[in-house]
Amino acid sequence: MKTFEQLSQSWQQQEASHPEQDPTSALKTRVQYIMQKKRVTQIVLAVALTVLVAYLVWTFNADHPSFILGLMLMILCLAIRILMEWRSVRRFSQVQWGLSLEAHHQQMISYHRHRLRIHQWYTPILLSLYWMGFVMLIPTLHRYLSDFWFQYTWISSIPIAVFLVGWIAYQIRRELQMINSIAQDVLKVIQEQ
Amino acid sequence: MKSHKKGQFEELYRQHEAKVYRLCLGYLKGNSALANDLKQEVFIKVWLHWGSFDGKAKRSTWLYRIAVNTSLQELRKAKAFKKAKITALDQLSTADSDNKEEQFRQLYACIDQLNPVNKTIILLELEQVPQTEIAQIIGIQHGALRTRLNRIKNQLTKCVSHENI
Repeated sequence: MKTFEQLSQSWQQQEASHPEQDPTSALKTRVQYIMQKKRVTQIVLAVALTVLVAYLVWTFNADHPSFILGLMLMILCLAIRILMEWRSVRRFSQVQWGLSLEAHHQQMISYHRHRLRIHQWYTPILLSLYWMGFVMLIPTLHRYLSDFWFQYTWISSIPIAVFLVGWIAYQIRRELQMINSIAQDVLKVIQEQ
Repeated sequence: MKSHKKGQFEELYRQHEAKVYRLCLGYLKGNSALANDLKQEVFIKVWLHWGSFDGKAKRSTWLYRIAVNTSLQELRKAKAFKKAKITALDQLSTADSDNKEEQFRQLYACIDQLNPVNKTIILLELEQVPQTEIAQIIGIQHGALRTRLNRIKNQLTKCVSHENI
C-alpha cells in the first residue's frame, strides 16, 4: 500500500506542462480577443437600442393610436430586456475570482439567482407585454396588409412564441442546475465539519 | 507601471505554471489538451484581474484561488464536463500498455470520486501547498481543514490501493 507522501511524489512527476517562453505575449492575443468580443457585444446592444428608439420616434407620426401604443409596448419590452442583458454582462464581469472558494461561490450563487429571476419572472412578463403589443397591431395590420401577408404574420408568430417559451424553460432549468450544483456540491460541503 | 505588472506576472507564471497545470489535470482526469486550455484560462483571469489583488493573502494564494474557482466553474458547465470525462478516458485507455499512465489513470479515477471541495483540497495537498494556504483558498479554519484532510487522505490511499496502484 502506497503512502500519501509516495502518491504526492508520483503526482509531481507527471508529464511536464508546456510553459510559454513569453507568457504575456502568448496571452495577449487571447486577452485582445476577449476585450474585442466585449466591445462588440456592447456596440451591438447599443445599436439595437438606438434603432428601437429611433423607430419609436418615427412611428409617432402614424395616425393609428392603437398601432403606436402596440409598437411602443413592443419596443419598450425589447429595450428593457436588452438593458437587463447589459446589466447581467456587467455583473458577471464584476465577479471576483481571487476570493476564497466559499466567498466566490456565494457571489456566483447570487449571480445565478439574478439570472434566474430574469428568466423566471421578468422575461415572461416582458414577453406577455410584447405579445399584447403585437395583438394591438393586428387591426391595423389587417387593414393594410394583403390577406396572405396578414395570415403569414400572425401564423408565423406562433412558432416564434413556442420557441421563446422553450428557450425560457431551458434557461430556467440551466440556472437552477447551476444554483443546485453550487449549493449542494460546494457550499454545503464547505460548511460540513 | 505596465512593465512592472508584466515582470511580476511573468515571475508568478514561471513559479506556479506547472502546479496550476497539474491542478487542472487533476480536475480534468488527466486530459492534457483540456488542462492546457484551462491553465491558459486561469492565467488570462490572473492578468485581467491583476488590479483586484488586495495584498491580504500571498500572491500565490490568490493565484490558486483563481485556478480553483475557474476550474470548478468550467466543470460546472455540463457540456465541458461531459467532454472532459469522455476524452480523458478515451485518451488514456489507448495507452494502457504504459504502466505509469495506467497508474495515473487509476489515481485520477480515485480523485474523481471525491466531491469538488474535497477534490480541491487533495489536489492542493498533492502539490504540497501549505495547509494554512489551503485553508485560505477554501475559506475554512485551519483546524477544520486538518481533520477533513486526514479523512480524505485515507479515502484516497485506500481507493488507490484497492485499484492496485
